Amino acid sequence: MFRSYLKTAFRSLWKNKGFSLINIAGLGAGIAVCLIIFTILQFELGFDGFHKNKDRIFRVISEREQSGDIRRSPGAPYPMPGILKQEMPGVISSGVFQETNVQIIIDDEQGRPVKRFREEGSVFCVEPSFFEIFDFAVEAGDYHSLADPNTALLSKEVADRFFGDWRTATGKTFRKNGQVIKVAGIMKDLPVNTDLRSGIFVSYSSQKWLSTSDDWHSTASNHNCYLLLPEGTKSADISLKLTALLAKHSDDKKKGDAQALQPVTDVHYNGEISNYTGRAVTGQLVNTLSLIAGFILLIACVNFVNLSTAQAFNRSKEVGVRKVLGGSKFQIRSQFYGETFLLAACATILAGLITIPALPAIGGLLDLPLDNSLLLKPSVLLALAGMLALVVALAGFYPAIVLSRYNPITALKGKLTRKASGGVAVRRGLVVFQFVVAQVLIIGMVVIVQQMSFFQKHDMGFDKEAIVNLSIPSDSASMSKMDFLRSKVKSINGVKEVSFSFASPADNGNWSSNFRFDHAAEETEWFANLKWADHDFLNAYDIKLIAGRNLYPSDTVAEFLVNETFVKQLGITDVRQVLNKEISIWDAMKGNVVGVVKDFNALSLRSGFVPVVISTNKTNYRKAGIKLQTADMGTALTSLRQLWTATFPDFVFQEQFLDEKVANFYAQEQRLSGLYKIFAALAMFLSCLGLYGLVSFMAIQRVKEVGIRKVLGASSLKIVLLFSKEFLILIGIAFVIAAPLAVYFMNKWLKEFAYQIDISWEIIMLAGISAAVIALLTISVKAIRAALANPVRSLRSE
Amino acid sequence: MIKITDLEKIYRTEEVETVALNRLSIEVKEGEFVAIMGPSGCGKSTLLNILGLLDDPDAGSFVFAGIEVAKFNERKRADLRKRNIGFVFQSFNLIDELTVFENVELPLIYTGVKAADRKKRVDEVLDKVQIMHRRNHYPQQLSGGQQQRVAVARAVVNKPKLILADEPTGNLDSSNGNEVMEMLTDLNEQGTTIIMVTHSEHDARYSHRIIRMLDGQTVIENIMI
Repeated sequence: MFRSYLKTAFRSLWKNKGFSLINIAGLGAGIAVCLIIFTILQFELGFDGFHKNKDRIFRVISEREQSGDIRRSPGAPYPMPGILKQEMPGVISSGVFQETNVQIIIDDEQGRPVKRFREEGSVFCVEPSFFEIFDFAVEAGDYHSLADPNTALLSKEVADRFFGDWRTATGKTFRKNGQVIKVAGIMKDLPVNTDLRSGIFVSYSSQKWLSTSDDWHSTASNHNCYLLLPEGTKSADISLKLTALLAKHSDDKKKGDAQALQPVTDVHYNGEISNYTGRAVTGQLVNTLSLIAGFILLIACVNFVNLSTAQAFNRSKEVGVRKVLGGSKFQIRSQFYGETFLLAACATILAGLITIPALPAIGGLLDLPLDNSLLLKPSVLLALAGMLALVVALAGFYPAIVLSRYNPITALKGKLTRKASGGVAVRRGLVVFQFVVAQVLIIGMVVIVQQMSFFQKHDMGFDKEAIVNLSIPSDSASMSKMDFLRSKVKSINGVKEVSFSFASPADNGNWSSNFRFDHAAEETEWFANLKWADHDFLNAYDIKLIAGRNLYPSDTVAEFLVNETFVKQLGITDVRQVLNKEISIWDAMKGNVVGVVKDFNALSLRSGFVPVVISTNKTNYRKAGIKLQTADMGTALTSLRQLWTATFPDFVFQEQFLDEKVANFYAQEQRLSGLYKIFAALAMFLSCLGLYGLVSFMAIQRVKEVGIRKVLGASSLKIVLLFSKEFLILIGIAFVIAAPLAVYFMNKWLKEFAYQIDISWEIIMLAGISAAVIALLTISVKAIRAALANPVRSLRSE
Repeated sequence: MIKITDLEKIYRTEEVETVALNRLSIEVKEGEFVAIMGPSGCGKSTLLNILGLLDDPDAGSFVFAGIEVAKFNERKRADLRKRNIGFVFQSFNLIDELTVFENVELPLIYTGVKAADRKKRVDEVLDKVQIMHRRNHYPQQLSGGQQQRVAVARAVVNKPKLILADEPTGNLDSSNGNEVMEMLTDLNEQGTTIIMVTHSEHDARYSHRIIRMLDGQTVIENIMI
């Protein structure tokens, strides 16, 4: 019987090739989107889930109460990893210090540099115990060698890159930021789904200052401490012990400071506490992507339901005959489910064909290593089978019910009215549903694009156009060349200003601290952003001074500039009142406030203004900020490259334009906006595909009516309107539902940013009108053809 | 074989109530060939639908092969129908997507006959109605007469006790019409009971008995000699 159903199904689908094609294309695209999103989520949600002890691995995080809120940061006090070994013997711990943009030099046997690399990814300094906590396999050598300073384990990929063949790499040396490191062993390449992904693991003891530090007060987001708890230990108990440990060792501990534990399986998904990749896959993102996948699949299923029920009228006779010949409702439903299955199976194959090139492309867009091997994972294949079953159930259910309930007598006599053939109201409802989803996505996409464009154009309070940032090596020899470099850079044609600083006004790396103001007994409870910068900083970045004067040239901390928010935070209304007052940081760096600058955004526009302190401190300068003339930047850059290479021959020259760096703050939003654009376009395309199918069907059904109307004098425009009116009303209703929904959700999204656009009615109307115009064009393709047909032919054939 | 007593069927819309069958009583014996005639709207088709277990009466008794079926639900009716009754329609009602063979095979599929047995029985019946050479053609590729022969083959393939024919020659020319009537006569002679609704006096003459209806009632019965 099943064979007979499939045979009939195949012939019926073949007979209605156009509709079958629309259904297969629509469902194929819908399933492909689901498959791609599922694969992305599968990839993202599996981060660091492969460690066999994952339930017992935690990262120590710091909690600090600030203005009633608890601020969490991933930094652990520097001495903590060392102390834990003595104070908590059952707990395995490892300090993890992350370095980025590391300079690597490979020397030949005579000590001459032969290869230079700038490692864009992370380099981790870890203790041997790191490899007892995490499941990262060592291929050659022994991780215990990392107990010695200046040793490293390299991944096969990195060892191949550095030394040609990983098999010969053990025992060889390389220079990391000038420090000679010996290769102690080789690791298998790390899986792509770990936040601790790196090809270079240097011994923790190589960073002498880390292992000897007794600074319990400072934390940095790149210094972490991981623990493997003994079985049966409650993480809350350990958190309390860690907080007690902090209190014991930290003299100036503030009320509310605490240590807590973050499960390793949370690191990738926590938007508040940073990980090492710079992107967090939050629950909200997972939900949004899942919802989009679900809705796009639903839109495709709706197309199927609409076209099937619209065609049901044509198949009523067949149903009548089958019923008369003894076919039960169940058998008839089974037959139509069979048809849906066949169609959905074709769509699934098409989805596979779409996904194979699309997945790596989407991976490129999202900067994720998504390759097609992920598609062969059993979970993905199982999900694909699940999608097929879901599509058959969702898309096949209603048409099967409608078709199987026909009364055979009425159906056979052709007395079934179009209304009684079922589904008119449902079809209208479903068209509205499709366009609600499509318009919500379009409005959402327009809002995201506008917000991104707002970020690009928003005045951050400093100049970021035509400013190039160049890194400076941190060794003392390089530091000594800074004044020479300044004069050389200034002499380059096309350079307007140059400034050396720890970071640009807004940067990825930030240094914050509390301080003592005006000889107060207590340090402030709040932290200020520290900007170590020379006296040219304000000029180079065009930061406005509103009171006092600029810094005098100095190599050390001598005096301070502060910003308006800093003054406000102190509770002072007149900016001039802070002038000549002392700031003392860690009681080691002291100086008077000599000027107040206008507020500028030291962080991304997700946050508002923060208190900023600027002071000279040459040993901490890591960047040159060079303002160029826009006329001939290419020549100036070439000269800078030559100068840098000549001054720092062991250093890989790499320039970064400030406006690009700032744009990169929103890289994740930018990438997602690219993805949402695709989804919105697809939702609209699928909805229009369904419309096209419905209008095509209408054109066939109403051919006689059109003929009569034309004979009676109706113009072609009137005929087009006849076809369009109903759908335009439905799209209008969809817009009325979609607009407030989209505004609600997008306002929620915008709340993540301190600076946000207002969702104007123009944006919403624009989205609504574009949806209507695209739909109208779709309808018109068929409607115009129907309107232009010769009425004599249609009437004669009737 | 069939005994209906005081059968009533009333169609109601919001404004109009139409009495299709008005306390109708008739009896058809096994092996009979009965023609039902009457003007349009007299209730012939309603009667045929009820006899074919496609519709249920509002009142009265309907005994089929000794079983009271008037109150049967749809599932029971479908089960009884597919095992005992074959249908021949004026407009053939073949399924366009199925070949001649597959159309005839359909009732056997619904009664759960095994594939090998189905093939044998379909071939036999196609041979009998002389359409074997067209077994792999689709209905649109056949003439009206050929299509009706396929429809007859489909009606008899399950070896039903009763064949209900609704204007079986209505869409055929006289030559093809006669052929179909000869076929029905042959089937009747082999023992199948036939009830045929027709407007054609010529076709009615093939039957043993003509029941003439008016306004949902039997007005006269002619025994053919």
